[in-house]
Amino acid sequence: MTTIRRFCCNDLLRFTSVNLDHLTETFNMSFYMTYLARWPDYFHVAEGPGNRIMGYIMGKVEGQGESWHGHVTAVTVSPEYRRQQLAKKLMNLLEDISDKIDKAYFVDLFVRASNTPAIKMYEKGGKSSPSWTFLSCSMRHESSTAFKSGDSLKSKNVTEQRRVLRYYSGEEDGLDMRKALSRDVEKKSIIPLKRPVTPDELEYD
Amino acid sequence: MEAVLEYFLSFGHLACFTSDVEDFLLVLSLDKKTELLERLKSSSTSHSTESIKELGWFITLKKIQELIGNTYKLLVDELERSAVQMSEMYCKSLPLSKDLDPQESIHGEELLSMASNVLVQLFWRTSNYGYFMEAIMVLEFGLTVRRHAWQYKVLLVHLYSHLGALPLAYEWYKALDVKNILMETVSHHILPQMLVSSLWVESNNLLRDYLRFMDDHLRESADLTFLAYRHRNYSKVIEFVQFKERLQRSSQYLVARVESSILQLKQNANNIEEEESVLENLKCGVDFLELSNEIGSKSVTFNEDWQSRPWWTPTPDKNYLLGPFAGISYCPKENLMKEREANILGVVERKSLLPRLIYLSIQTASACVKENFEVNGSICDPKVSSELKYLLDRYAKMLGFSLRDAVEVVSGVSSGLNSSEAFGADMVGWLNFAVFLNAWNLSSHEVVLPDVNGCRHSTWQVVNTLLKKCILEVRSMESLVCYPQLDLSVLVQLVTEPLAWHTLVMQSCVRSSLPSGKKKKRSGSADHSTSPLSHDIRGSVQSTSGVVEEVAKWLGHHIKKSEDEKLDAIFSSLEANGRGEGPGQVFRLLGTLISSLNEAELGDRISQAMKSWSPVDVARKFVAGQRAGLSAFLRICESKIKSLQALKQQMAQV
Repeated sequence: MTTIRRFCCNDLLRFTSVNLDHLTETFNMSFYMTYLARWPDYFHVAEGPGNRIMGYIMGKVEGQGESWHGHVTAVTVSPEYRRQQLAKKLMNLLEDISDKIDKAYFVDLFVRASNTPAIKMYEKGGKSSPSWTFLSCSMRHESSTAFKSGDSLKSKNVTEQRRVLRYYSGEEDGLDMRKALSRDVEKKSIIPLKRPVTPDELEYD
Repeated sequence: MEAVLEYFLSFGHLACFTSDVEDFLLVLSLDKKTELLERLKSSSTSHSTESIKELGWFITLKKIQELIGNTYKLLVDELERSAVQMSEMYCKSLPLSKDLDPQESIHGEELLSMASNVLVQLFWRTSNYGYFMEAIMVLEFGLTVRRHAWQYKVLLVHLYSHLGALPLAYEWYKALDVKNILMETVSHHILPQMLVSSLWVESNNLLRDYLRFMDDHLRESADLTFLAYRHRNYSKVIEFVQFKERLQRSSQYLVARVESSILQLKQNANNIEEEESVLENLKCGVDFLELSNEIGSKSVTFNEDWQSRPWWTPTPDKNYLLGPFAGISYCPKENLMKEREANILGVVERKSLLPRLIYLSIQTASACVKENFEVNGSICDPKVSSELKYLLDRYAKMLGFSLRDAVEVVSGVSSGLNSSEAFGADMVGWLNFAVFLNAWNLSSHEVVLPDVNGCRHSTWQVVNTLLKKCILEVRSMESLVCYPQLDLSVLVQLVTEPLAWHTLVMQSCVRSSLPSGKKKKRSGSADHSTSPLSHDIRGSVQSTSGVVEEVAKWLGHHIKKSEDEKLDAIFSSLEANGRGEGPGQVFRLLGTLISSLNEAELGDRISQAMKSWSPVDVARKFVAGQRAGLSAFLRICESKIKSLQALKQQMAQV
């Protein structure tokens, strides 16, 4: 049976099998502890039988006015427990907290442009739940042909993305993905942008 | 059992099945476990549907077999078949991963780790190194197919460490990209081996990065705790304080602090002035002495992730491969943890004495030589002598003997009455004791060595004989010519610790006996070069130099051995023996797969990766790794020889 509970400090000593995966970043202590100190409700861990850590999600809530939003900083699942919809459950939990407790307008996240498995996961939408949306831009790079045309993308529940240039360590681009919540009735938060942005243009990191 | 069976039918194909049911299986008797395995096997055959599920069930059954301890009962040929079967299944399943993203795990990836584990077990049973090399080849092949499989890298760190290719083990460890808090939980895979190796620069880097991380966090922790308080997350305040304490009491942190200082002392042992500078920064060993005094009352935390360690080395203290095959099933980890705690505290207590012992030995040697050689020279400080005696007494107790009995033990081995087996597994500790005993005896003259064949040796002679005997004995062990890292690490420790500390004592003596300033020896003044002490020192410099030169010669010989000869040895261990048994079956299976691969079935990415795999390159890198480790040790020996030669020249001036 899986238990999803708030992440605690001792879990930092137990998440080796999750964090040794090359797609999962291990941040410095101050980073984790700041999230635990400020947004403990947005930091959850999924624990399996034998108290093994299956995965976790880190997030926060920030912004002002209509920019008040939940943000997924990191979500990761141990290879042993993948392909079981666990990441989706963790994301849903964070969305619920942002939506029902903090009354945010939307949730967003950044993902590495090269992290195809993660992008595919966000693209898939359940029947009852809209998928994540890429904010639009005019693409600087011609390679991402999947995201050029708005019409063809609508059929996949994906619009053109907001690309943040050199978001990751000044090297790799990041894609900004958003999902509107119930408070954003007019879905203003997911209106696509027409151009890529640079990290210094981001309102929130 | 029915519940487990039902769970298997629904989820048996998932990678997590075995870990999910592990705790439940522990309560079953061996017969029930065997029965369960049979029932699981028949369930999977009657419900086989799609390939990925079939693969999942296959893997699960193999894992369950391993979990219930069945594999230890299988015969050698059954184990060989199992390894072949797993590797075959991996290869057959590769087309299922054709369209996966390169960053995703390959379906059936665990099979190669499992095959490798079986091959290591075969090595343990038969002592045939061919299986060991095959285990390495399997994992290296897997990493060629997908370079991000961290489980393979961890296994390779341990396999290469065991075979004395520590530089290569270190490279694979670096490939894991261990940083921040992972250093606390993952360093145990490499740090213990590095600390007893000749890879000083790399060890220093590991220790420095780890200590910096820990010190930084312990410093910032208060601010972070206050941050939680400001945001009114009071439960987190308590949690942060408890976590900080847990890290502060980390056993690895304790060991790292002590070993970092000892590494500095080892690195500077060729030059007494530099060594004294290091000792000054360590407050002459006083702080570590306090640590040693308090260690008995300390409790430490173990924050390492032991789960990720290979089965044959569940903790750094244990390596089943070094002993005979024992057919163990599952060794309860709780007992190992208690053992480890006792070991760690004992090791830290003893090692913490070293800086102070070295400092006092240098002081004593210096004062004694002056007392001997100068008419109005200073007398050895009785406090120094008495402190040195007290510490020697403690050190002897840690070796399990009183001071007097410990003196008899070293004397017995030195005189040939007993073999070096009297030292047990702690040759390094005993030789350290002998070195510091000699230093103490310079001032105290209390040590009375027994007569042997009408001859009474001095403590100088005891140290000379022990260093020569032990070092050359370890060097000539047959196993060293082959693979194991353990014996090489003992040799490295003997040269870089007791021999190094003894060199410092000699340097201190020689420095103090040198004429001060530019005054030439006046005619009629006492000729110190003929004094018994001078004779002893000269003899010791000569003897120590001879020992290091022997080791250097031996290292040079092994480094120069042709690469082709070593490669031949590796590949001939993997050759078929004509009877369809023995190592090499999995290796040949992989070779057959590559030569007959179907690109359309496997896809471009996997095909290209497999075509690029070169077992010869793997073997070359392994040989180069071993050579690099020996070369680093040779450089250390050469610098010691140089330092001892300089000492001889200085003695000529006395």
